[in-house]
Amino acid sequence: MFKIRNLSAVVLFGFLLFFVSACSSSDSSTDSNANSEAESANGEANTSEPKYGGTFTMVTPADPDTLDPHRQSSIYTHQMAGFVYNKLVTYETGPDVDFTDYNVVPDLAEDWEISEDGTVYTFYLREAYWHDKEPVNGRQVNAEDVVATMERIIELPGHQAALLSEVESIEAADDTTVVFTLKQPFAPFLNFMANHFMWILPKEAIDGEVDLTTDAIGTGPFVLEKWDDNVQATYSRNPNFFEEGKPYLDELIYKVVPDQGARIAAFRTEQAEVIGGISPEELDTLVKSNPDITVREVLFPTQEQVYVNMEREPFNDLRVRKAISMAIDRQSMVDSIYGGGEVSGPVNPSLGSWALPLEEREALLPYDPEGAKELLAEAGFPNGFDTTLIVTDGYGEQLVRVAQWITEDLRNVGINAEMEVVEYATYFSERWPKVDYDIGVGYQTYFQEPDEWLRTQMHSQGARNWYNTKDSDLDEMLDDQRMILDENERLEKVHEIQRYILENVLNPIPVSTYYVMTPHQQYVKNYEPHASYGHIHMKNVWLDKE
Amino acid sequence: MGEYIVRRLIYGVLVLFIMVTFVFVVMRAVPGDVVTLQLADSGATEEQIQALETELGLDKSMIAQLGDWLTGAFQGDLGNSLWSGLPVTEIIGDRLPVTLQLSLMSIVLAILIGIPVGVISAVKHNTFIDHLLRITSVGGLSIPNFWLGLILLTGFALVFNWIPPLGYQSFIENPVVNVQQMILPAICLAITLSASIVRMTRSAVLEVLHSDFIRTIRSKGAKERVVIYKHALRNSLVSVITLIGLQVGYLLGGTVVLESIFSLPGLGSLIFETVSARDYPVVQASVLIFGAMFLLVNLFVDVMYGWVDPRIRNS
Repeated sequence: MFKIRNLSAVVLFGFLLFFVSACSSSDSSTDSNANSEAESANGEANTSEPKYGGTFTMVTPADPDTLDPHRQSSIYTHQMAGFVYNKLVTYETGPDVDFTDYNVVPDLAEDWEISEDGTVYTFYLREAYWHDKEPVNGRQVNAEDVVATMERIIELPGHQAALLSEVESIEAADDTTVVFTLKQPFAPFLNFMANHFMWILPKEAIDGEVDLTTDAIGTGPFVLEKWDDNVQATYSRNPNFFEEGKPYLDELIYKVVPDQGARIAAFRTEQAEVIGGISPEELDTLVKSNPDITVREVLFPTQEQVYVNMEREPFNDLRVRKAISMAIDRQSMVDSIYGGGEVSGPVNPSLGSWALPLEEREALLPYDPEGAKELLAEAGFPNGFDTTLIVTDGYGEQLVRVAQWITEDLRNVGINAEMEVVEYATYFSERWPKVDYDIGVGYQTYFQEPDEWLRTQMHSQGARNWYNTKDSDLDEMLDDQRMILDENERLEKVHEIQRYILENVLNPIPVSTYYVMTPHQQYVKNYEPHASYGHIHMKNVWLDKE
Repeated sequence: MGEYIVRRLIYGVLVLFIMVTFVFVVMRAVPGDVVTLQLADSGATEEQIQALETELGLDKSMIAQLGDWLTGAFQGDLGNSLWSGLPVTEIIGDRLPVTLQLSLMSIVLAILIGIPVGVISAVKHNTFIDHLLRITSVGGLSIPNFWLGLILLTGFALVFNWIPPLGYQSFIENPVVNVQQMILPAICLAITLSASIVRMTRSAVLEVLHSDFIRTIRSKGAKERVVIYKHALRNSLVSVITLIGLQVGYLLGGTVVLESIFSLPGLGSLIFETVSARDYPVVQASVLIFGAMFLLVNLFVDVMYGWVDPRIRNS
């Protein structure tokens, strides 16, 4: 058995990094400021003592239908869940942690052990208390809560059940110890436990004493005071939060503002402290009127993809898929439509080191229209062919522009694709999952684990293999990497699989991952978001104003 | 008159029935279903999908579902949302007052602007003022209200560093905040409506002013103000009221976009959200309410005819 003394190691490491960063300037590759003055002000503020108090307002395009985090996979539900709930383990966030670093750190479990054969995970719970609301009334969190939550997750239909598919049994060894026994070694397990579906609920709520659709009682940094459906959710500071001294904000308000123009106007007039993903044009005008804002540039947690139906000709021919890939001028496309980004890969670069290095992605996914024409000729299509390409406008106008760009690129090599814009519900419940298309352009969901990016999409049994992709060698490699418990060894294997995919499978075809610009007000400090769901960084945020 | 209203109400219920049945069938005939939407990315098993279908009552035949829904609707039970599980009556109850208030404010604003301007334009016809007012009203008709909404919002933010406070509050909770939130979208909706009222009032008043009875009244020595307001305007109102009744349909359509621009949780934005989520019961109920509003307004318009024109009342 080996044991990780996580808490102390992380705290020590955190301190070291804090001092290092206090001396040097902050990470300038991901952090860019609207002007240099703001940058220096920001750098100084990082070294000063956090201030308590204040109200932080966020604006969101839509409210979830339910607050129940196990019944709903919607991003809106899970972003809000993170204020209130905790997981057993979570991802590290903070000034020294990159947006795409997936470091698993303690959350409700202060420590854990993994048996040598990798089949038994023992989690030791910390002393933590539920929010002081009926019927839980601030009692201590115990192992029964965790067991009941996990049983609920497995019982309910949905993606989250698949995350626990390798679990054989979950038991409470004592009040503060939970033992997970797996059917076989399963490398993604710990990462899956940090997944945003794994929010721990009190047993009373699972027994039906709390209406989880409209209320939420957790252990998190903020307590849900009131939720007016489609208007706003109001949260107050949790005075009993287990991370001593946190959070800093008195109040957090999550407001529904469906229109992008209205969200920008709200940010402009300081009615919102932060605003999510805005376009380069919008940023330009915003900086003109509000030069003091701080702008953060991060990788979008997913990618645009071109995917083909492998059961239809000619897409079952690897040469045709390669020709499609080589026809696309990825860099120019992402620069002109999104204002910046990079060539993507089978694992999205937002997963940090799990993705192939950028140089390798660029080498394996080249832009080469002449080569594409040659490949098409080899495949028996010297004059190209006609096809139909589907896309939906449900994700916004930019993806449609991507599809238009790709259609043009394909035409340049002789593939005449007629674009069909499909309404979102039809797209997401009929055309895409039921593989009713020739070729399509879309976004993938925000997967949090290389296993999801690879196996879920490309294994012949994958839950989201909506492409008819079948490759028995790939299946075997994908099953194998799940058994490799040594992280470095698994990383190697995951990279190898990605190279194999790009050379031999190539469906879905990764296009690019764009940079998201998220401005926040200059007085907002320690705003260091993470690529996972749930705004887990909000416990660290404070406001530098009177 | 009473018998007439009852007859109209019965027709109204029939129209609503046909409309709702149509929406019911169309919503289920378009591709995309709510169960797959909820479970598509989950890798759910066939049993889990069927279990959810049974839970939501979608495994029955369409006729049976329609029957269930209509039986419920006649008893005031509009079913539950297929996503949140909340009763539809509760959801609509929260949203309806917002749209009602917005529509009412816009109609009142539009009338307050439209009728006086229309009368002035008619009285001063072919003068500079008339031309100016007519050009302005053509402008008002041509501006799309969502564009005006965005311009107002961005303009206020840039020029005054002010926008209506976010987070809707009802008039009872906080009248000051509520009016601040409602006034801009109400103006946007009222501009188009008032422009058509101006044009209709102007031509109707002009026509009446040239009729024989006005000449008679004038020759009796009545004051010009009495001629215009008591006789000419009153006799023009029938066509203006008809116009307002018909325009309410466009107005309700306009709320869909403006509610979303101004973050108002009304019925318009609800329809928009629930159609794409395929939340059938909520869509049906919202359409029912919108239809009922339109029918009631037009019934009210018909009753108003009797009030402004005794000849109609007596016939």
